Amino acid sequence: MMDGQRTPFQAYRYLLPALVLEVGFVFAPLALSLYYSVHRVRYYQLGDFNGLQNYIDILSHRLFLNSFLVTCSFSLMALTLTFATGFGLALFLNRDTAGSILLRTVVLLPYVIAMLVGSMLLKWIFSTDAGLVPLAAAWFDVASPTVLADPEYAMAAMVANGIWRDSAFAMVMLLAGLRSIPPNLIQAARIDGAGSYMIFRRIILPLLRPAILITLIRLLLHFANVLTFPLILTGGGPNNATDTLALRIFRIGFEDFDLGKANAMAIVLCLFNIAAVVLLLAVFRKTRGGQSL
Amino acid sequence: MIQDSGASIAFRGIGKRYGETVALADLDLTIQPGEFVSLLGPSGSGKTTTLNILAGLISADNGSIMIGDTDVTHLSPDRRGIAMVFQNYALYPHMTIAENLAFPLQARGHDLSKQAIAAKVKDVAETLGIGHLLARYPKEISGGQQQRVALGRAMVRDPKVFLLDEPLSNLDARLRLKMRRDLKALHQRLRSTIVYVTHDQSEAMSLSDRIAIYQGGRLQQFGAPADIYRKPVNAFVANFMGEREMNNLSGTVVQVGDGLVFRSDGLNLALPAPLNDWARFQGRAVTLGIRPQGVKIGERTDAVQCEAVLRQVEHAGTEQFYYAQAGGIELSGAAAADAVLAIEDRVRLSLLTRELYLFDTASGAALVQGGDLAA
Amino acid sequence: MRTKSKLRLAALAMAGALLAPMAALAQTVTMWTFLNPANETPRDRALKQIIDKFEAANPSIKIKVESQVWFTLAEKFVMAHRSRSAPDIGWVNGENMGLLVNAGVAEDLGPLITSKWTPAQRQDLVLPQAYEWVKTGGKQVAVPIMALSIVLFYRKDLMREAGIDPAGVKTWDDLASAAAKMQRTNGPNVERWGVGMHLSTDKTTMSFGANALAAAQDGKLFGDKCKALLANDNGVRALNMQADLIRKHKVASQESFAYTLDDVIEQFIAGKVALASSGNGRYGNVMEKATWNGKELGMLPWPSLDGKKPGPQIMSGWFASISKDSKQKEAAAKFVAYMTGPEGMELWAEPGGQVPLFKSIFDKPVFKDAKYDPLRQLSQMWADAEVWLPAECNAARTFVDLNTATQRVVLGNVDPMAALREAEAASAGRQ
Repeated sequence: MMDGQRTPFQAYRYLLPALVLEVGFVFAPLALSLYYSVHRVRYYQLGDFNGLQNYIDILSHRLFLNSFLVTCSFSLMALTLTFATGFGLALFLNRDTAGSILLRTVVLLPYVIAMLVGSMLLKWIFSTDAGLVPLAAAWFDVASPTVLADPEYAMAAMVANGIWRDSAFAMVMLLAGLRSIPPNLIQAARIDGAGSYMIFRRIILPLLRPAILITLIRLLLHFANVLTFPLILTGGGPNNATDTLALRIFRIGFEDFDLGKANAMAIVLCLFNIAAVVLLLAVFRKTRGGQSL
Repeated sequence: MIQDSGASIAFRGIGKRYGETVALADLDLTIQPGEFVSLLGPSGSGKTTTLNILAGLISADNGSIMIGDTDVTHLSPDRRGIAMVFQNYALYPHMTIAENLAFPLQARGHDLSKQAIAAKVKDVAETLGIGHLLARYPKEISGGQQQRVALGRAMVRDPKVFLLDEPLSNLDARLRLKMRRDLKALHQRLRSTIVYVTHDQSEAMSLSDRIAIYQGGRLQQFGAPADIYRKPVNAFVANFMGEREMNNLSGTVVQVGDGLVFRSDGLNLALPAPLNDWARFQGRAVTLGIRPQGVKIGERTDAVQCEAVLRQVEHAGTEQFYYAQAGGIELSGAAAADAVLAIEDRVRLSLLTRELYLFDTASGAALVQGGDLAA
Repeated sequence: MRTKSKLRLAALAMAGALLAPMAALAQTVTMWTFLNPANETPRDRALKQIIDKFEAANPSIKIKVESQVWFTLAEKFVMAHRSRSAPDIGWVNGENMGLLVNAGVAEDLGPLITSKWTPAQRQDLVLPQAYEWVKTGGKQVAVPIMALSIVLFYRKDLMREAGIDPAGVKTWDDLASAAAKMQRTNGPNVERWGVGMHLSTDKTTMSFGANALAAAQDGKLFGDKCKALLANDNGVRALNMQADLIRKHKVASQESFAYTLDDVIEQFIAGKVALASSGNGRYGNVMEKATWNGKELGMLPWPSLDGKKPGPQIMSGWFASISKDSKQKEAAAKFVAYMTGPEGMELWAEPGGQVPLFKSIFDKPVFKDAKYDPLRQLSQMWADAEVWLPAECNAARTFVDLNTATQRVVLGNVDPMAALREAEAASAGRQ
């Protein structure tokens, strides 16, 4: 009341730059995507309105369910293992010794090199004729597996690509979370008689909740939408074993030149993302111990 | 007679270095069971290092620590039978007050039933007057209440030794005084051994059975508050204890005719006959110290006297403090609240002999303590 | 008065002097290509010489080259029409010709170029079908600049060691047994595979199976309205042939399912496979980089299922087209006609290293040299088995569908006919 000048307009003025960016880079492309998804767009030429036909076509496609399941299983496996690896690294490297600083840098390397380069590197490593797999196989005196030509191995290779690259991201996020826990609390718990497990379970884990949630959401969205891994590493194969929704969007849009269907599929993937995040939030709310996050 | 429930503590040659910096040098200190001991000193003096080594949060480079009959030098914090209250209380923000209080009881090795834990928590909460806060979260209660919760979390395991790390420094002045009394009452009731870290000498004076005063990583003096106040072993302790600094006059003792004179920066103070044994300090750089309370206006027989001009006067409720210029030196003194003091008045000052201290200027060691020669 | 008119005259003269070069500038023709005349590769040098000679002969026309990344060139050319920023001339690769045909952004080059040819010129064409191929609704949307086909590379030394006469490899069974003889193993590991195949679903091109199927169907993979002709007995035979190279004859690695064309060629260069298909454009590159004696590199006519005649040379290449929006179609057409005419073709052959698209060029004495033998052989193979898959049919994706079907059969144990029906449906869904 004392400050009569502060009107809602002032609030909007401060929000404006963020809103402009949001509209320009999120809502406008989304709206355009929605518009294209209900039109026939072939060879980059906008055609007639055709209602939900694009959606019907892609959803009824023989490979849609496969791509959906591939995306789900890849996301879940990569998410779980990347998060676990990142968390382990964060806990292990949450010290400032010279060794752990060096190791943090090493772990960060895959994250800072370009995704494309990283996936090409792994493709080379996994390939039988040029890579490191045969070297390892020779070491154990077994025939080297054809990693990228075997459906299960190829999925494992793609998950490995995810872990290799993105554990560093999880580690950085969780390390920041760990660093924000006052050391006094840990000391207090130690004096209170708590062992390492109890400190982790009762102090560190609850206080890391925000960092954990953000990390999980960021990783999940990344894995559900990532194109580089399947495109570069596996090409979606073999036998469509790594044919994710994102890869299909790319193929339909830029190899079949059907942007209408590609956009319809992108909208479906967007809804899938939203559903996944809502699910994750619900799981978190359920397990929350009465504290405000 | 109340049975002491605390344990004794003994530091034997404890030392800690960080690179070139000596955080703590050869500490030898024995604390009696049930004693309330303050570790007093400016920041970086070694008092907090002592506490952390005692708690087991950092390890000493050398020496050993006993708590009761147990050598705890290499024991982890949870096995030392201690509890600690941190300066910022270190309450677990994601737990209710009840959960905070219950936490130490749920730790390994207690095997208490849920009911037993709840009863114990309730008991401690009632004792500290926080029983109505049990369902709240730390950020929902006031600083004073948080302080009590932190104390309660320390008390709940009935430890032999309490470690308190500046527990009152985050409270406002009034609340600090109240908590001081409450702490004292609590100690009188529990009779646990309490080691209390503070940089506030009045807090240490009012609470402690004994005070350990530190400077530069070294223990300077360990004794009862009154002893330390009256008989400081050196200039640092003398100046650190007390609300106000001493007047410090550096100079020399010289023989003039039949009598002795203390000569300092354009001021010659004739020393009265009872101080004739100060003759032994001739030819040595010394510092004459006297607290403001020992500097009186008017002529007194049991004093060293000088002429001075009043420069400044401040009221402090029960008494007045003034600053007077004598030769090249400014002296501060105390006067009754009703005395009439006018600035620029010429007055005669008496420096009471029983309040005089003399320190070796180079080493700071006390030569005379409250008029008597140091032993 | 007189001084005034003198001044006017002087002003006019000056304006004329200023305008003259501007008139020349107005005839600047912009061309998008993946080549860069400032660079030193054979084809870059050829383009530079073509432009220099053309500009010398036509001082009023300047050719301005804007280099683009090759694999997005066609897309960019089509898209540029939407923003009215298209160049006068755009290069389009055969794989993306469907894009150009379907988008309808190219000017008809019939009246501008091809209808001006003499009958003798028509008789001289190496690839007469190439011109027919880029006609849609009677309109010539592009003309070929250089052609490529997917050829079969082999190593003469390995054939000799194995005692095989290359000319005797007529059927796919011949090829399988030749491959088996050239394969070399060491314990459980294969050091050199008999054949290298690229069967990934990544950006890829014609597989052995696709070639066999096209051969069995008289060069056809598509029927009316681009309906893929896959799910039939020919398809099953071709698919089984391809699958058997891996699962029965074991002369190709199962990792073929992860290989692209580039992967296979690298292995061929490294001596890890004895036979590999590739674009003919890589001939010089392979010869130069081979870890074995590059002179032993040879090209084999494609086998077929029945061995009666060689499998098709599935053609592709780079084409020039002129934008409908161009303001100077005549000048642009003049350059395109030069670049794709006899004089241009001679330069594409030397220094460009390409097969000239006029037969008579090989009659010139300078081209009698032995170093032009591979070009001559290629020219002959093309003349024997030239096949252009319909431009509007997105054949590249149908090749991927066939690879997917092969993966389904080998890795998923799916019945070949069922897998081919899926592939046919996938192809149909795309048109």
